[in-house]
Amino acid sequence: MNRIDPWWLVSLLLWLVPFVALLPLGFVWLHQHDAALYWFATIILCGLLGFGVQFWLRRRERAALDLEHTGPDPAWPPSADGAWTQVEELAETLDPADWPLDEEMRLGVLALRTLERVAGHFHPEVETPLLELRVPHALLIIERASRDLRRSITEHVPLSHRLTIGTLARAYRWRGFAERVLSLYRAGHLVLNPVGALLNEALGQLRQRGFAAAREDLYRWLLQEYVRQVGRYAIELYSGRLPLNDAEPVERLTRDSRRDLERAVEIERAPREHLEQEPMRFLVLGRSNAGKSSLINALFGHPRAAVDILPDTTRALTPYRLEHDGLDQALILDSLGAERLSYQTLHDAANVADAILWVSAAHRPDRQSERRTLQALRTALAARIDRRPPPVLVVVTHIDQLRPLREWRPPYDLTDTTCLKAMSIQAAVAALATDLDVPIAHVIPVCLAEGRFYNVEDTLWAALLEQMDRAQRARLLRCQVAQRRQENWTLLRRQLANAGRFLLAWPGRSSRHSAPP
Amino acid sequence: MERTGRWRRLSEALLNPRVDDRRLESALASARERAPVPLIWLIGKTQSGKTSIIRALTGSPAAEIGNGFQPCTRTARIYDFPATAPVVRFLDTRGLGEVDYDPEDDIRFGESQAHLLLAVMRACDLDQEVVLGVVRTVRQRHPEWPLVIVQTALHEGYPPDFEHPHPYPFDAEPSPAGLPADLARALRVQRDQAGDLPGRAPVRWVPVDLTLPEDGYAPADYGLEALWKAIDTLSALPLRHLLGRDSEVMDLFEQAAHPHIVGYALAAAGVGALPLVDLAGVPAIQAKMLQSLAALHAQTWDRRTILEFLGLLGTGVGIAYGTRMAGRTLIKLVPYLGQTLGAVWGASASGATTFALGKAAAYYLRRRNLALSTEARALRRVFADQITQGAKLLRESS
Repeated sequence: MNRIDPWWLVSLLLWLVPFVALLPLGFVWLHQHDAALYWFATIILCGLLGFGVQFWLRRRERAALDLEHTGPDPAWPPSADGAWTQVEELAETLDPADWPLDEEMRLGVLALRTLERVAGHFHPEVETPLLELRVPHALLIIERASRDLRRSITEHVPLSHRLTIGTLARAYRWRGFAERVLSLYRAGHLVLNPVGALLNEALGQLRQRGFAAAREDLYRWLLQEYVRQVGRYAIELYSGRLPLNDAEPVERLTRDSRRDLERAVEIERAPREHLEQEPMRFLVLGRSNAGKSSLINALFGHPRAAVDILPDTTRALTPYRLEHDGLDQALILDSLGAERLSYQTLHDAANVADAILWVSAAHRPDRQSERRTLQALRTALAARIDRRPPPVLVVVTHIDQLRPLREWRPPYDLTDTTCLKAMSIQAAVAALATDLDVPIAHVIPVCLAEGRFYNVEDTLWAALLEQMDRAQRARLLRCQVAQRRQENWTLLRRQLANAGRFLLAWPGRSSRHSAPP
Repeated sequence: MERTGRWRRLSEALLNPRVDDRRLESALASARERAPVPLIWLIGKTQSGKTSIIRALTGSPAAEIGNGFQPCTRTARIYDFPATAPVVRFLDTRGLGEVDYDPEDDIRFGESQAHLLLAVMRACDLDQEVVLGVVRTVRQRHPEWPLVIVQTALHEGYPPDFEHPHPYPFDAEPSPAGLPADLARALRVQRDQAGDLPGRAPVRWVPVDLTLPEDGYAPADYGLEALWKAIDTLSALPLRHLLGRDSEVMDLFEQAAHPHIVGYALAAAGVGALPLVDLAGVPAIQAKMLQSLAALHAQTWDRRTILEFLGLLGTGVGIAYGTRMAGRTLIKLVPYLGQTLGAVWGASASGATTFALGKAAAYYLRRRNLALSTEARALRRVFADQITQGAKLLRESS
């Protein structure tokens, strides 16, 4: 302060005086014209309006923040739902005042608390569930979290690629000086223009309060996101979903699919292609003669499966490879009539399916057995908490056999109440939805009779592709379950082998052998 | 004096605008007890075409037909045909395999009532174990029940644009080459699935295709003739004769009137077999019959018409009518022997007179419909002829 020459200050003031004088002069002018009150009123009004706009902006921001938050992974098994509820609960009850930013260790404590909650959910039987973490998994989680942090900083913090840690440190050091200069400016202002400065101060306070509230919102959101992110990884970790190899689980073939693909190749007598990725598995179920094999042929667009009016043309489960636009690689499994399949076969087949196509004939209303089978299947699938049940689509076949019997003039508009056939089809679809207890949107009428293909390529495929999301999720979980089982064994085998080699190479061992006492 | 008394009693019953319902009801009930009407039990999966069969056999539109994709018969139902004085009764049970339906009670009920078992299967539905299971159990318990297995909806096995083969080829063994291969195989497989069914009474397999006229298959009741034949040869009931579905009966009105007349004649015969009860019951039944016949012919059955009809029949018939009634009533009063004799005579007599009265009325109403006057002599001849016809018919059906 003492480094500044007073004469310099005087010259600076001389420059400023005319401008500074404007304010009191203007005030005098206002006073003379009896307009001072109006001026004050305008100031207050503008201030209030500004505050209102800020308040509105803040609400909008908060709404945007609420929309933008981490949710549970849809691919999680149902067993993770409880853990996520706990994480959400913790996030909701956070008070930003309890977790000040400048105390660095506090955030670590918050993360630890989140981890403990999740670990406790998955391992309620042990006293310190946090220790149930396996060592390679802990290393993996650090790796992943760092990767995510890097990504979000590069993407969201402007100029972060130019920012060095040194810049950050310097900026922090200069902060004190900048604050001191600012308060000096404010003090000087008060001396030179008391009225304007007072008003400025008041407005500034008002603004700051608004911003402080907005900042608190943002901070709360950040804290909640933090807890959710940590919780998310913790759930991945403790539910045992994290495989130790980097590849996505669906990028490797499961044993079931490898076997089925080999059989499919054998059935088609096609040249063998090497397949690495796990295919989507569609299971076609239904009663004998409902049209399962015809459906498969229709999906392929050319005959693959044997079709006959007599039942039992299909062995228990016959796999076919299916390729279609919008579908990378799929196996479609044709089955015997559901009433002929043993419950175990049916259940096993459904367990390794990512989507189920239930084929039912429109003109066979004796659906008691179908209803029972489907219900049993659903109950069994819902009971597995480590898997999401695969989506079920009901395919209604033989719609050409509905009244009027001899009419077949597709396409039919099912909402057309003047067309008898369309009405019959619509009513049959509704009856099937009720009988089998499925939403009507999942019931697709098709015709598979020779030369009368209808609704397969457009509607059925569209419905299938619409279910693809749910099917993908089912596939992911299925692969994880299959791979965890496989991984445990391969790892154990490899570790034992390596340990053996290690022991063989143990220096003391060979010397002992070479030099017996 | 007795004979004119009976005649007057009939005239009174006729001229009375409403027959005493209570009396008629009790008369019909007692008649049913005496002479139980044959009951045909239909079993099959839901929408296999049971109700269509009933409708084709009786020609009655009362049997509601389903839409082909949804169960339609919600409860076990007995179709009396004709409704007021049945000649034959059908027990239509709910379709097997329907969602949320346990057929156990219906099966027990059917077993307690039926005389003839009609199993219905869609020809191309090869999953018939449920139906065959019931058939096997029922036949084991009632080996004497005749069994007709009807294979329906043949068109499901036709290639597109295929018409019903003519003449009806399914009687021939082996089936001729012209049949669609899928259909022929499906029919064969169903028979093989059934295997050797238990029971003494023979089993007949009849493929039919009962469609609606608007479905575009001609005729709409394909194979019905074969079904008639199977029922008539298998069972003791001359069903087709009772229902008036003879090829000889050409007139539509007569076709419709015949089962009604037979029904009332059977009821009258049943009531007539009871000593003394008939005195009150028979005229009520006959009056009711004439009323419904007039309704069938879409004619008003007012005092003038009745008086004209009775006048044409004349006192001669009146006396004959009276003596028959009086004679058997008196005979019945003779102890022991009279009971039996009177019952037989009374049964056939009141049955036969009712039958003849109905036929004469039908003749009279038909003439009126055609705006022709009826000669008294012709009417009396119809009455006299039909008394013998009626007696014959009642002997056959009892």
